Amino acid sequence: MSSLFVLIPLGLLFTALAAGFLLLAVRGGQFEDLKQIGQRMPDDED
Amino acid sequence: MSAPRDWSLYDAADTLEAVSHRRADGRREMILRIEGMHCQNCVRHIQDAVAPLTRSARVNLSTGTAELVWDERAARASQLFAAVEQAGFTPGPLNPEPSLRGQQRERGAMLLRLGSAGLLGMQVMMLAATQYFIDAPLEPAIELLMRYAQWIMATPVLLYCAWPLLDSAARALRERRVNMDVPVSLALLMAYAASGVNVLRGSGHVYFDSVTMFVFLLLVARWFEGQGRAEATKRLRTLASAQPLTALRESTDGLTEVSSAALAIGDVIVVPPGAALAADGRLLDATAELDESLLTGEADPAVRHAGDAVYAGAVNLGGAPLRLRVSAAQQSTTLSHINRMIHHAQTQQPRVQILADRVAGRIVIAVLLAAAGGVLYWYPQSPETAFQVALAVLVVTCPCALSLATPVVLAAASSRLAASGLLLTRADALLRLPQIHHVCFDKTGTLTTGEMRQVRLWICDGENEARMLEIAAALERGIRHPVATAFAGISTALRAQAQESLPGLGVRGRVDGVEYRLLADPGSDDDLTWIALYAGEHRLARFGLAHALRPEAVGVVQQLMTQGLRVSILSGDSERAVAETAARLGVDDYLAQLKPDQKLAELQMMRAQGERLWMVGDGINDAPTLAAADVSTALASGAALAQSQADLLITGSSLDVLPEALAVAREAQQRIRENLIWAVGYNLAAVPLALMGLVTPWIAALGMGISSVTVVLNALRLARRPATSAADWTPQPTPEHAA
Repeated sequence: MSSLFVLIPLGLLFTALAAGFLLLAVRGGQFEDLKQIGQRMPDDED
Repeated sequence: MSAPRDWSLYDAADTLEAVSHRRADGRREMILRIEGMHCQNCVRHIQDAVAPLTRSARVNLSTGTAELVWDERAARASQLFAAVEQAGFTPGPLNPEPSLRGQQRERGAMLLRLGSAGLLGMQVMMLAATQYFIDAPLEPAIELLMRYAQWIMATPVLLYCAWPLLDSAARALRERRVNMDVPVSLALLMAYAASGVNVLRGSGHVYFDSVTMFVFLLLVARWFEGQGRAEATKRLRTLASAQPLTALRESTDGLTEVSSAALAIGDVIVVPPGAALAADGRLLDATAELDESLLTGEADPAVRHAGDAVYAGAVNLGGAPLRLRVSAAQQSTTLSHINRMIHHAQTQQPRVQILADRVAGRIVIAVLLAAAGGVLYWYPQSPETAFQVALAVLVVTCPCALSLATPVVLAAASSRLAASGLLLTRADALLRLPQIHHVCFDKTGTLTTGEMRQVRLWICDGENEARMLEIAAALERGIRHPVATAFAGISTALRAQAQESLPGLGVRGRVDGVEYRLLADPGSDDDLTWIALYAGEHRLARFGLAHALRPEAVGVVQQLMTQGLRVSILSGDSERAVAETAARLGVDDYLAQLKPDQKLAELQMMRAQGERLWMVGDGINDAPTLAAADVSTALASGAALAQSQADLLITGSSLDVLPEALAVAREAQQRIRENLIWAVGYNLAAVPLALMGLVTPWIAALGMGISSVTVVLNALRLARRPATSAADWTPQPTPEHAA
């Protein structure tokens, strides 16, 4: 049971990390145009 | 909140012209995009804020826009922007680029709020589940840790994710109003505060799980509503962005790129291949191929000839640049007219909607009273239960389902119709259409096309019928006149030499060395157009021509009949011509030789007998009859379209959309009915249960969330179109594609 004293704060930390990544993804515009991306021509350049 | 912006840029003449337009009565009209609107009360608030400055202000929640009409002498555009801003919203002109970015920013923030509410909510639930599912008593230290962990994670959900709700409620209360966010915010704050106190006391119930779930579900409902709104503005934005902001103007010193606002009537502009026309005008080149699908819904390229009218927003499909002389620019173009018409229709509030909003407003007050009553009743027995009952009542009711029920359906239906080439200019018409049981067609120009066909033939004794037709076909080849279309289908090896068009009379030319003339031959008392073929002074044959029936007319009429409508034809043409058309369409009811006032009297008589009429006409000559019907549809194109007063405008050239319009309207009515029944039924059932203490706060949160999501999703089913559709194909690289 005492492991929970470590695991719960660890869970909080991971949640904060996940929220941070979500923030980066939204800011980076990953969700801005979900429809168009499927219709785009494959880009062979890079 | 940031410092007030300086809006004076919009007072400068050229910017003002770009964002607004002058109406026939001398007032200015402008469409603003408004960020931050959530409910009907926001709408009212903006209307109140701009009312002293404007003649009329129509604010639309579902498109997030405001349509303002004001007197230039009484107010400046910048004052309007400032007034909206002062009211706590972010205004912007409805221009393609900036509004798109604003919408994307709003969407991004919303997504972040939704995502983090979901993420944090899951963790809180996980921790909260221990108190529901584990019977064995936990070590007190661990239990305390879990409670603190829940508290820590619920805090950003309340303060960040639920901020728009709290903000909107606070704004309403500051102005001594209540809106739907008031009970919601009250419940959230109460639950959060009580849980915090209980954590500190180390005993009692915590409701952090209910708080996070409620916020998450509310945001999900808002998200779907926002998607519906985006769907409704999509076509508006496509139209607004189709008219380029710059143009290549031809002058004595060559080509210069100028702002579209600087174009004047009579300017010559050059449109490169693949680009869109920046203004309406007359084509100067011999021929051009244009994609007019945005204006007409017609996917096939349109071929235009020198002198033909071409419209802003059409795309030059040819391989070479085309030139045109500007006849209307900026806000005067047909595209802008259509744009305003769509917007006008969307900002109109049908009567049912106004009623639903009023009811929803009352419900909010009733909910607050019910919650207070619940507390008073339960408090003597158990303060804990009283608190839970109050929370459940505040959370479980869903007035938003009621106020969303109609507008989301109408927005979805009109956007679907627009994609098929049918513009709804009055939202009420969509609600009236399902009640229709009788459709009246005008004949000429509606059931028939501008083309002619040859229906009767008189041959001089001794002449050969086929040869007469071939000579006529040879003479008419290459001539651009409705009469020539009657002979276009006849194949012949004959060639006419020295072919010459005699304006107002006919054509002449030499075939096989003989000089022929094909001349108009009036004088018959029937409705056909007669022309005669002469060799010298000798009349060889007479051809009786009639307007051709639209190819789709038979199918459309049959479909309307299977949909249960009575179909009739009202026409000013002769008995015989109308009877013939009616017979070919399978229509039994027809009235011929009606003068316009007789047509009107006929319609009024039918309406007096209780008939619900749908009049379909060409929109030009039959304006009074269209106005007399319950629902009117005009088949018009170009400039006539913009002037027409019909409820539904067919922007393409086909009647095919009529059965679809009826089907969509019937489906919309069904959806609205389902939504209203659901919203009313849900609220009637949920409140008593909550008052009896049978609903725990988290079940209440779930019920409310599901209730509003159901309404929105039910409406969005309408926007789904049949899989293959030419109208879905967008050839125009709009900014959102180019980005």
